Amino acid sequence: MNLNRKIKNQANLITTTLIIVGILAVVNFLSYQIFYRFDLTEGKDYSISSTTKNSLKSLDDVVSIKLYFSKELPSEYMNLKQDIKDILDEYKSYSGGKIKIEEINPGDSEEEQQKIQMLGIPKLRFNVVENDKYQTLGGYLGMVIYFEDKKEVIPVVSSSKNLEYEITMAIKKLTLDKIPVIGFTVGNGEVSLNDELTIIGKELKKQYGITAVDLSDGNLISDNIDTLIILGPTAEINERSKYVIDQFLMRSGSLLIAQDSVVVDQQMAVSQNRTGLNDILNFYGLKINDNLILDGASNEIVSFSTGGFFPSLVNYPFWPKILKENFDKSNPATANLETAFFPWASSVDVLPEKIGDNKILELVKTTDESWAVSENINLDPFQKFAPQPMGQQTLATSIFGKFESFYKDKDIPKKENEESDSDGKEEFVSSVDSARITVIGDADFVKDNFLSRNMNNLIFFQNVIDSLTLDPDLINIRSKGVTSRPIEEVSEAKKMSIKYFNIFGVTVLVIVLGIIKYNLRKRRRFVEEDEE
Amino acid sequence: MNNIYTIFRKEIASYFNSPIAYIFIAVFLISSVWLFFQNFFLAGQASMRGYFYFLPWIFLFLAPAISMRSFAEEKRNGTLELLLTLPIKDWEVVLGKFLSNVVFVTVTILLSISIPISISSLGEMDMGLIVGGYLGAILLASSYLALGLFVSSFTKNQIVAFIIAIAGLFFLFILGSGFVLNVVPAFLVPIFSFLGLGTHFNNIIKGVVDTRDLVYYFSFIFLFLWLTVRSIESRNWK
Repeated sequence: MNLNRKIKNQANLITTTLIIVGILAVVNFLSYQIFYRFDLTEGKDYSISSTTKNSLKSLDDVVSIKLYFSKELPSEYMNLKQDIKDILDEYKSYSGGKIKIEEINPGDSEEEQQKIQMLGIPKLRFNVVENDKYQTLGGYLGMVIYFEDKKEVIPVVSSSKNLEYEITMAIKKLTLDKIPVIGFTVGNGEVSLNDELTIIGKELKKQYGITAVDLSDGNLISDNIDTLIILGPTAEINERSKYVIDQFLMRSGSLLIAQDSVVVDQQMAVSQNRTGLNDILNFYGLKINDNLILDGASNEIVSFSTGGFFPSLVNYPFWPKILKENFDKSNPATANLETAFFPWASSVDVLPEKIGDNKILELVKTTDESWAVSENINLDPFQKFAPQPMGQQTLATSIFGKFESFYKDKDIPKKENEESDSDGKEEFVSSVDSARITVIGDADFVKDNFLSRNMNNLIFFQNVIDSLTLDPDLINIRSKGVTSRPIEEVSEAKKMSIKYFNIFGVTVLVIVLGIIKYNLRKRRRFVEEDEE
Repeated sequence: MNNIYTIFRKEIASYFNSPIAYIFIAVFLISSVWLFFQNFFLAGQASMRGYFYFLPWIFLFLAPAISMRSFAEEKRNGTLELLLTLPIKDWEVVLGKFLSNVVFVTVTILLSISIPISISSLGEMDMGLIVGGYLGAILLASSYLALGLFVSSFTKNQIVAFIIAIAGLFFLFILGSGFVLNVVPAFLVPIFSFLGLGTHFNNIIKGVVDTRDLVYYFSFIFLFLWLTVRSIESRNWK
């Protein structure tokens, strides 16, 4: 009887336990369907930015996002997968049903794999441990975003840090009302789009309209040009052309100036290059220095002919090579870049007194073993370089924000053939609330012969142009979780005192309290005993 | 409610009136803070990431050390029978003991507050991360304690309770970590990574409080407290 009851009780317990576990499983399952995330981080690192929310609100048709993620991935990618899904869930919930997300598990069939690779998503190789052996596993981690009949591909999502920027930019590109137009200036000795920039031209044409802008006629630049690029001018730019450039900026145009202050020609002869662009740039808060930057720690290996049969390979400090860590990490346009190099580049300085509240982005820096030469420049690759490290040098800088016209309170330069100033058609704009300038201290790095060495320069250039041309708010999407919070330098003694205070301070305090409490109790016990 | 509070008070008092609490606090603070400062100045970042990274491993030993005595000791001394014959419901006993454990561990964790205070004098910290870190640590410790309480409820021997709890927690903690996920079949990976105590902890110490993680922790705690109540009840079956 008793035994029977025990068995019955046990059976009961097992059933109710199973029911409770079942209920908890269901509750947890449901919690994955409806959930809310409180982002406690100061930078709202795990929430999408208002820029993204606004662009999602303005969607007028369905954007569908297809994820090509292999099911079998090394475990370190499991968290990434969850992070990516969480980000996309945020997109979905702010889009009012305009974002559709589909997860596709690429199968094993050859045909399917080919299809995915045709989309531009490469097969990745991972090392995993299986049966005590290292094995390689193939898999996909890509994403395709479709809108109407267009698509944008994010070939590899290797981290969630820049994902918001990439997705939002892709959506912006897909949903643009008109194709943005980029103007390349001509007539001042610039690098020619047809000769030396064919690779860049071809890539940019996939996304943008491209047109040549002749500054020499003195006409203001048409409003349909979004970004003006002045790439490698070698002649002095006249006052009227500068006025045209200034007024383009004042009408909210974006300006990219890439200029060599010191030009090196085919015969490796050096000449100073004064285009006069620095006049207006200084006014906006930027300056291209008259120097060449050498980097002793990170530079390209270049082959030079020595007159013998074989060219020699040497490290050439005049071609600084930018490493991953020296791109601006807080800026999504450059945060993901791997490398780039800038042959015979000049440094770009910011003039702090002119900047005000504008946003400064120092895009590219050399290592801290860099130095500058400005006189008696000797380009010989076989010389014994005498480094005089000056710290990191900036080679490219962007400024976003408010600008005043260089010609405010000045005489407005007239067109050459203009007789009188009665021609009142031109309207002078004296300031702009939101415009963008990027200055690069080098024009060689995008030329075909240099690009063929290193296509990473192309990615850098494209990202710079995207950040100038597409919605300026995109820059407000920060790279996630990369904020560096350095502690101040303190003396060794202070370090020690902080360390040992933390390790023992509170502990000693607690133990002292404990001893006091113990003694009090003991005394109370004595008192109580006495009373008895 | 009154009954729970009575038990809670009695338990808390028993910690602080014996050397156990002070030894425990000293061991916890010295080991965790020492580990943290091993490379704090080397990394030079105003963040407590390293601290919260080590916590689950330190708790792995310290939480069972707290919870092991809850029932095992009473059983051994024979005071459990006495306690349970009082007009108190079983679940009130369990809850009272659990809350006293949680409050004790919470106080211990919060004593490390000197770290964020000294770091913030050196650099700017992200307070959200600190709040998230402490919240995650308390939730994780509570889950550890719930399981420890359950283990303690079916043995007389504290050492046995201690070791079984460590083994169980270790298993549940590494379930969602890389070296287990790497070797299980692919279809089990999401389930394992959901079940792992560590997976959810990592989410919260990132600074994201997600209702999914909260539901997980509360389910975990509820399940083991419920099992503890049933385990206490089963004494009547003999």
